[in-house]
Amino acid sequence: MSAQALSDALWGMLAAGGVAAVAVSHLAGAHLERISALVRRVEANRAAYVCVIVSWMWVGWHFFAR
Amino acid sequence: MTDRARHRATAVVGLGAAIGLSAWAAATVPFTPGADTVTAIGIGLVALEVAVRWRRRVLVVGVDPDQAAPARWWPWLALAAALLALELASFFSGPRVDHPTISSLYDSATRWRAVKAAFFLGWLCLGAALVRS
Repeated sequence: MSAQALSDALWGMLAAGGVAAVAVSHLAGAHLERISALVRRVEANRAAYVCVIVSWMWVGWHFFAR
Repeated sequence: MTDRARHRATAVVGLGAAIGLSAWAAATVPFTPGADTVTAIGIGLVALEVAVRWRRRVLVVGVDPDQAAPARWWPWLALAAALLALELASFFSGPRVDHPTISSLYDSATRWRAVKAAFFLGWLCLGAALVRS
């Protein structure tokens, strides 16, 4: 297997894992917290919330402006 | 106008503005004033909303004690750690075509304007969700 194929497979597995985790978290009686609940937990701390917002801003600037 | 109708009208106007900004962003090229401007507008709108809601924000969020168990959220931490590890491993490996990073994957995907518009719209929606959650 080439390095490129391996990288593609790993990125694909991560993406699939993320989608699966989101789906599982929305199942009734799931033992995995939803992302929205995680965000609310972070928001309970103002410093952590500011970090999340600044990270969101950086992602946008990095991908769309620079 | 009822609160519900006002909320719906605000959501429709916001979504329309976000789609317009996304279409504009898709037509820009990074490192140009246009790209800087449209991204700064998105950031500015969310920063404004954060400032407006800052005082009203409820800081102590009720958390179900059952949800406080580490088993509830550690898979997300593991996923984030795996993402970070693969990103770093790819970043320090070469050539980039064999070891793509998130940025290079994004660059490949956004050769199509529609894909870039979708990414920008997703980024704006995420920002709105972070502010309004």
